[in-house]
Amino acid sequence: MSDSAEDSRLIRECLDGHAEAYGVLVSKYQDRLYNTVFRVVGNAEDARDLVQDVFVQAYRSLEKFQGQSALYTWLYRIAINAAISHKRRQRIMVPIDSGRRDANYEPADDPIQSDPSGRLEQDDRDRQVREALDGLSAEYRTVLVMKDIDGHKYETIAEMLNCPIGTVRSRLHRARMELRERLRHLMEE
Amino acid sequence: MNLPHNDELLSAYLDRELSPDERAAVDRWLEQSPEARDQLRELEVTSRFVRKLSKLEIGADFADGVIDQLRTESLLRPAPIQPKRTNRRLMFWVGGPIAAAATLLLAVGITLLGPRNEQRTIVRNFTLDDFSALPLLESAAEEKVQSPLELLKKGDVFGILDPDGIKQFDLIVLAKPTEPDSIMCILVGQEMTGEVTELEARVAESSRHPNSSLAIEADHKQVDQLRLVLQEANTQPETAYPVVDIRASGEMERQMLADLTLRKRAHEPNRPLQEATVANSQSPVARTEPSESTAKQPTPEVATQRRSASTESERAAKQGPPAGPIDNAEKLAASSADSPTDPKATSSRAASPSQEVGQLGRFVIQNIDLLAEADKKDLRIGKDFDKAKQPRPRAEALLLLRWQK
Repeated sequence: MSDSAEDSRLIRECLDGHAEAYGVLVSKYQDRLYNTVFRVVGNAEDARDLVQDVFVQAYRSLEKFQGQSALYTWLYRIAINAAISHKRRQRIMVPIDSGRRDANYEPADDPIQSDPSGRLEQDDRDRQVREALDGLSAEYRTVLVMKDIDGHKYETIAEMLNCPIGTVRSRLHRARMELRERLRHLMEE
Repeated sequence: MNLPHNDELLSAYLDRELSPDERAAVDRWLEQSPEARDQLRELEVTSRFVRKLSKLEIGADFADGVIDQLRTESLLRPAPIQPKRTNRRLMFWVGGPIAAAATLLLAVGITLLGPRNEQRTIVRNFTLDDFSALPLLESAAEEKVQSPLELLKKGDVFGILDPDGIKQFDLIVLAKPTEPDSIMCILVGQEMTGEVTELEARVAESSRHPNSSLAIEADHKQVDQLRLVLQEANTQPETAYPVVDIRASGEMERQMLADLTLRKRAHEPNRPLQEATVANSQSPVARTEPSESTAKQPTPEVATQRRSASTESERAAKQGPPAGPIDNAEKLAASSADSPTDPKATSSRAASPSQEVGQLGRFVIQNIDLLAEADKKDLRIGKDFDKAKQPRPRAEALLLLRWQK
């Protein structure tokens, strides 16, 4: 059964009152959405809460899901909007302790990085990249995440962010340029 | 195409998001410009840093948390009814008023304190379909009883579901009054936080039902007495007890409240909170010594500030004896180990009541549990409530359920 057909079946079961079917769907997409939301909001706890809200919101609107797009695309759209809204709300808040942002950060095991020294090196680079990302504006960070982490086409990003493709292109380029400056020390290593 | 005047196209080049003409122009530019090549390389490395970020996992229990939240917010859609339950005989009972002209309409008046101590009154009509007691209905059909309520036993616990299939109340059967088609119960709310508004919204709809009837009326004098008792019995007296109104109209309900009041009246300040007293000396189960097992159970905590026995006796005198008939076999009554001949004395049977159950629920459950031991009946209450872990706002009410034909 294809991914889409499997999702459709699970959605029908959800609508029929089988809560466990929704649990399957949540388990299927939770990590992908969590990665996206975490990269945008920069805080593990907030990201987890947001993703949970996304799944609750999606469940409420499950009848409205027409199946014209993939379920993941639909969920992703809800998630990215929730993350952006969250970042906008955060603008007026002064971070008290940026060092606590990743208190709940738990990278998944990477089979490629099996040796401890490689793991440490990867963790250190992750930390520096995350900090550099955190320094970007929400607009820059969002397009970077949508392109470089989630691999969306410019057209899709433009549609989801409700802006012209040209805006996506220039915003993404500026974001990379700024991030390049913030990570220049890593490039020289 | 001329060389680009800005370097934005480099990122798009990297992402293969350029038209063929644009791409060809950038290729020419890169051939001629070492700076452009350096910039492209740095952009590529930057992009790779982001792409190579470790993947995160949100946690294995996340999906359960989502389902729990949906359940807490009463968003879960109702579970499908098992097909085996919809047999022909069952349809007689649940087929609705048109098919069988026998729908149980139960109207319940509950006043509770919401999460913000806002007093709300809920009036809701239940139909038999609301009960998660379909097997009971099947049995009723097979045994050809006049009313499914005849099959209920004291101590039976049923969940009452809302239209979304979420259990809102536990219905605990306390006693059967003299009428065969009615039964005395306590309703213990489960999760009354986000659901209150929805329940209230349904009130308006159900109250227009021509066959609905309000079975319970308020007797605030009794309510006030019970409230005092409950507040005193609370292990944390400073915490407002959520039950603010117990409504009662019939003699059965009055008797129930009187029993509860008597129980507290007979309580001695230096002793743990006691169990029920003998409220009707004619009851065949009224005088029973507590079992050894129950006497050894740990005692519950009680409020430190208690009213004196004399004050309580005065209140008892003003209240007078319980009035009205009651089915003795099902009456709330228990024994006193210290003075079995004194109807106001108490026994020291104690339990470790679940925090999930409110004070009134604890009273009732302990009480009928004791009765069960006396009656050698197999009750199922304890295990149902011991599962609860977290205290939640709740509503409780004494009900007289009536089977209407």
